[in-house]
Amino acid sequence: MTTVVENPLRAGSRSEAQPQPATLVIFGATGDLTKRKLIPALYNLAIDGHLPPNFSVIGFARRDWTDEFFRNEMCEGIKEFSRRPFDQNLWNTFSQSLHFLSSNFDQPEGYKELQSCLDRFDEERGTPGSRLYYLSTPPSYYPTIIENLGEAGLSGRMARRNEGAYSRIIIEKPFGHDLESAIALNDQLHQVFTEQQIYRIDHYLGKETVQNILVLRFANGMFEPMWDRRYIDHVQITAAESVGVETRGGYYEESGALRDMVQSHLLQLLNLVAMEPPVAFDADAVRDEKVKVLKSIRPIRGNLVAEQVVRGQYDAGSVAGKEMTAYRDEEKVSSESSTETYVAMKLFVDNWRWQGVPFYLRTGKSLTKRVTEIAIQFKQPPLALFKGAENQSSMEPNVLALRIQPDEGISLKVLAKTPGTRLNIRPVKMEFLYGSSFGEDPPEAYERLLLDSMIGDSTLFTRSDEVETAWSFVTDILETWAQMPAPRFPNYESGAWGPREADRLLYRDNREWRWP
Amino acid sequence: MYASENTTQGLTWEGKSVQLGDIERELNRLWEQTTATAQDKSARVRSSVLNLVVHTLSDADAEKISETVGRLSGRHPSRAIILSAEPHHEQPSLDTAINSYCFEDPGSGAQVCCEQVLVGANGESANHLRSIVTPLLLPDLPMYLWWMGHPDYDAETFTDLIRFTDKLIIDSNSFAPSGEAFRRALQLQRERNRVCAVQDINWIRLLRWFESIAQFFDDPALRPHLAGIQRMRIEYAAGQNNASPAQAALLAGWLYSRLGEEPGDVELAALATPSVPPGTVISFELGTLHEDKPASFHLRLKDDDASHAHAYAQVGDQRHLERSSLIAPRTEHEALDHALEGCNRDVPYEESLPIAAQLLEREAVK
Repeated sequence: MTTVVENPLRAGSRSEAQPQPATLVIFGATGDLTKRKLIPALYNLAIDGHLPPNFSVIGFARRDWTDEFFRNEMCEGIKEFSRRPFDQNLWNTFSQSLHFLSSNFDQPEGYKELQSCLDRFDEERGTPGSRLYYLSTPPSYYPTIIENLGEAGLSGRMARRNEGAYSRIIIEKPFGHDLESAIALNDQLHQVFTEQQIYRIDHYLGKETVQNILVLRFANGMFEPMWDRRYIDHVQITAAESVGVETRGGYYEESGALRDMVQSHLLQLLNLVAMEPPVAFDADAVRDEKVKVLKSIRPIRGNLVAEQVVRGQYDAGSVAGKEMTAYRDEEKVSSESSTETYVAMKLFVDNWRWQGVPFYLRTGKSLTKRVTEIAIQFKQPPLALFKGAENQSSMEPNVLALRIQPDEGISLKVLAKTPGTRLNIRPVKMEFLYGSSFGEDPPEAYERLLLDSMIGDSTLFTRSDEVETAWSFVTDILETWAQMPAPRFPNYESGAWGPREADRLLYRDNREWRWP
Repeated sequence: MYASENTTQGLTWEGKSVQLGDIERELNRLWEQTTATAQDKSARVRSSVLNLVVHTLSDADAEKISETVGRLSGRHPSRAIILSAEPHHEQPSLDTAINSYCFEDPGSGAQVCCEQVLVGANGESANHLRSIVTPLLLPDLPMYLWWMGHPDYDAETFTDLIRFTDKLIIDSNSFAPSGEAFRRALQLQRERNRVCAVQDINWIRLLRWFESIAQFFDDPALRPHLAGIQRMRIEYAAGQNNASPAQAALLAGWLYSRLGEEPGDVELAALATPSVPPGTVISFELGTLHEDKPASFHLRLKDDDASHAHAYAQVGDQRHLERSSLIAPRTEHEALDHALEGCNRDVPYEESLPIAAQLLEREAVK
């Protein structure tokens, strides 16, 4: 449901769905995310006129910062990370909306102080009592914060003073550690907030090119008729990172690639590629279809795990000429760690559209290059007609590649005759660069997601059943791994495309990974 | 940030008294050369999302526009046909120049290239612009017609070109429109039985004003004041000659049309302000009376920085929402960039035109 401010001056304008004045409380505001992403995103929204002038931010964290110190830190963040240049005049106004409250997350007094701050802002700045709580802390603090918000009466479930005022909570991933913990977190959240108040962020969904997948599929008449088992041979989804875990060794040891990337980002991409057309482009219709895909994924359990899932861990090596440390030598990582930094898998979506079409997913750190893409490989037509052609080995199948990052765009590989008297057929790549055709500088994912959460559009956020269904699939694999002997890690060199077992996963099917 | 920083002019070709077939042939040859000169041949992509036809009044205008359009090639890759027509010239001639522009995508380093055709049509040739333009258009793409100066809605050249135009772009600050001109623009949209939008660059310059004014009334506590408008005063920059109050009239038209009201006590005042172009709105003040409580809403360009306005609402003796608002008068290529974004009709603009026309007629009587 979208809350639209009924301001007659907005009627017919591009920014008709303008957020109400509200206060955003960021828990864990001294962390990197606030400085690098959240505040620059809000600043850019302010430049575009999407942020009401009386919007306020309260940074809530343990450190003993003052308003002034918080503002200075955020000013640096904007100068360094905003996609728009720093504007002193705007900053003078914007900075006055930033405040800091120092408290431990488990101290009820802190929440009482928060309550009085919020009341004061409502009075002084004319906000109608709308609040957004952003959990940007380590996940271990989520239960404490949620409980305290509930006990302090800040969840907004009680009657509100003003009609249209809202309270919403935004939660960063990871949402749970496995199925059991995700269910427990959902249960706890639902004791304090209704599902409509909860916004679970997967920032991939805020990316323009990810949203463009649905437009490409459902707004163009030429793709959808071919988008099924009759024409598609298989789908490859790759999310490769060229960096290692860097400073996140402690977190990564507990997480691993399967939890960190597959459960969230990769399954989200799979959803968008595989889902049926929703009946409407609204939150529930879109998420209903995504959940159907997740429920249709054939579980991978027991012996199938060894057959269909490959895990890996990077060794030392080099990426783009830079020497890379082995995972086990990274900071806060055990020297005998069995945490996977790479996962590849083959899965099937057991529904009418996708019966028998394999989806190959892979993700990893310290790989050859940073790239996220979805490649749709089409079946080849009978080529007997051209059996006399030279370059038979070049007669490759058509591939539609949707590049998510970097160099967002779409390419289509088709076969064409090279000029000349002989029948020589070669693949040609037709390329569409998304950024170059529609102007550079698309909004950052967090801009879109923060704006959507303010106006109450949850289409790009994950619903509780979606999260739990994704965890259900992933937890089967985690449980099987727990019963298997410790893997022989490390098993791929930094700078490679992953372990050889991942290549064999496709060789067995007479296929191979793309080199995106 | 605009793409212009990464845009470079590529190869060019010029021809005197040419045939249309020459132009097509040279365009193809230019592309072959453009690809051949690229170090990595696959890294050059020819891309087009629209046809842009610009009708200019002189060769000097055409040159200036050529540069503006070239700077936008990264954001709106198009085939641009820039016409410079002088029907009264004694000697009929058709001269052409072709330029290619390449925009380098900062991420991939790939180059997106597009082309411009500059056509100088003199004498009899200038009366047949449609037959010159039509064969040069890229098929299956929308056509935008940017008519510089006062559109002569009844002229054959105009009616000829508008027939296959998806969007007409004008700049009402450049020709001091009368109320009648605004009414004709509206009529043009309503008469045509297909989607043809009219976009006024002067309107685009006001978008940040609209946003900043609307922000006052996003606040539910201030919104009721809109029901009790008593007066409106809009100041605009006076030039050496009489500056056009068109922009000020459009701003007033916007506000009253959003409220569905007829214009009341509106004062449009010209003020010497050399720091901004003549006709540019420099301040807005709205006086209201709601439940016997007077209030006023103010926006005024800062003296030291015309890209920002000082904004506040005064309710009784209290100030609300005092802030610095980004107004940033748009440069020509920024405004054109916005105008080229889509083909949709701009309903608030259409609804503002009758009121703006009414206000211009009032001003003319003064």
